[in-house]
Amino acid sequence: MWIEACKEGDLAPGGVKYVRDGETEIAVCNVDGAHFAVGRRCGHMNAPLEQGPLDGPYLTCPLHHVQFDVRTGEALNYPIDHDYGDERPPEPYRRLGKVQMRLEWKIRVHDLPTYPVRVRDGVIEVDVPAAPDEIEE
Amino acid sequence: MNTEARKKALRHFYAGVIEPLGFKFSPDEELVDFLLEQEVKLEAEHGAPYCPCQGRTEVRAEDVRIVCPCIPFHRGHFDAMRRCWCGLFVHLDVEDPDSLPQIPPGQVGGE
Repeated sequence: MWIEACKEGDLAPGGVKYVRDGETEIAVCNVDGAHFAVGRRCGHMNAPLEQGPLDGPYLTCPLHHVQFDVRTGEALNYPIDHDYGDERPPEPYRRLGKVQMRLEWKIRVHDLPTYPVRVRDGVIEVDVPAAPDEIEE
Repeated sequence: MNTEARKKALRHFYAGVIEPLGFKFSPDEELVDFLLEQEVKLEAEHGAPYCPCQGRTEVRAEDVRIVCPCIPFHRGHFDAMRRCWCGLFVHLDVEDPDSLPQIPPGQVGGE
């Protein structure tokens, strides 16, 4: 089912726009004039990807810097932990940080779903699969 | 992770940094491909694409100085050699990277 994302002129090259259709969250990307649509949620920890930078076809998650190729949805690297340098945080936070780090290493990074995109009459449209309860039997 | 796809991504990101600094990828494509592959492996294991020909010290302040492309941290040395240590990057006018000399750091000013 094709849904309207935005007007073509509203998404400049290098821009990313968040579009929602029911439970489906989509990030529409303008890569030097070509449009691509991927899942909006990072394949690592669900961060909103439209808040990360798009450089060429590479979209970087703002949370742990996993990078995705928006043409394929493929995850290209592993998450990078925040590095606070040599200054050590207070003890309770240090303990919490260790636990958090251990858990985060166990989390797998998944590729993003991709969606077909077309431009009709100056409007960018995304083909979103119908939810199971919307499919007529 | 897909090594080939990551290599292409690193090329893209590096190009935007090195060209304004007066460098380009070495014309030796085989060398470039090999070095990028090592960087992808280092990134997967250690979290950053460290220079493949430098040893890490485990001291963060030192190690960030060898995250590729490390040209800004070693500009004087690289300009003297017209290449970076491993030969991934050379000056824009270099056509024959094999002819470039390796100069020990102690013999170069500007570090």
